Amino acid sequence: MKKLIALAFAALIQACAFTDATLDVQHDPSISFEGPISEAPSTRFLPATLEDNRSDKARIGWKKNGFGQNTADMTTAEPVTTIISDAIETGLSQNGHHIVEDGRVKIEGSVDRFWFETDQNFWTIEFIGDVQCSLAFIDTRTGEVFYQSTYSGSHSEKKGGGLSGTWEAIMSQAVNKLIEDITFDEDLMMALEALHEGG
Amino acid sequence: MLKKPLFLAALLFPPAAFSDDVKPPVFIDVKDKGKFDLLFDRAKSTATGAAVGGLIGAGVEAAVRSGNDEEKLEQLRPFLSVETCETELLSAFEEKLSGRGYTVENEAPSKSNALTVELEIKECGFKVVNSQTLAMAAFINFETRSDDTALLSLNDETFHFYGKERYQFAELVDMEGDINSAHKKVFQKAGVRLANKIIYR
Repeated sequence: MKKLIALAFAALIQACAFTDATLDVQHDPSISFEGPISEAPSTRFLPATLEDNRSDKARIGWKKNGFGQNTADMTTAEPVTTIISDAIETGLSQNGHHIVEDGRVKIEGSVDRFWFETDQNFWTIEFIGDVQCSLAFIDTRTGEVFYQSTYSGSHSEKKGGGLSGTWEAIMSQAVNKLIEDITFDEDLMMALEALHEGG
Repeated sequence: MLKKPLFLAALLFPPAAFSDDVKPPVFIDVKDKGKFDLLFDRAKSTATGAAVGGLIGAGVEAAVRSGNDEEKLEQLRPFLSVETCETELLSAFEEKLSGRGYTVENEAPSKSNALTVELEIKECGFKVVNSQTLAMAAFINFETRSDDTALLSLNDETFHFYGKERYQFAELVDMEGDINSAHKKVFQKAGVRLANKIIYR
């Protein structure tokens, strides 16, 4: 009987490795993302419209077995473009700007990378989340791009092991870091100042 | 006749104990300066060694990869202007804070209102960021710690910065002395970010 239970348990563990994982990746709006762009004049932005420009749009990573072989997909509960556009809106709002339907500035861009991977070390596993996007800031009065840049957010932790809760937390923290990369962009702050000075 | 209203006004609007213009001194305690490194084979990690030889196999594989990376770093070393990564980061850090009215202390301050943060540079230099194309970028990873309640955002915080430019290893070798502008830009960005985390705490 004990052998049957042990075999069943082993089978269950193996099955988990082959089951796709759907992660609820979200930024944390309770974190303060106040940065240099808070010093730019309060600006009205349209909601960001982003394209998914990733080379692999089907997944954000792989579940792997003990030999490092890919066994199942990791995906997100929401489209990565929604996750990032929501994050951008939180970052802007926290810095004194507004997301409205008749904004002065339009944000267009792409999600270029949204990837989770693991790195097997001697005693630990390093969990790595990496998010990258490209944004163009457009003056709706002229239709011109007055500023554009690429942004990234990375987060990694070394642990003895981890399951979907850990993976979710790592990716969510990477998104938080992406917001910080935007709100701490001093060149964006100066571009917004110049936009307002131009009338 | 005006004494009572003036007295009440003074109670309601007392002189500020600390003006917004008075910035506390900042002390950054560098625990690890970060040895300049090149992660090529080590950044292309697989589980091959562990799969073939278990823990011993993984250990042997790690040693081989480290040796290969050291050989590559030796090719760049004649052109590198730094052996550790903290100088360029701290220079930008101090410049940014000074520009906003802060003083950066080189020794543990005696003033109780000083902001203290520990800095540990974990990895820095150049590393492979695309295992398919073997494209490399300048990078720096560091951690900060602070017991200061005013610096909660820097307590047990990790930072990862990568340069936007991508290079093949052969290009890095060909750049010779120009290679230093690549890592300097990233280390300085890291220093400015760290300073801004204090300014906008």
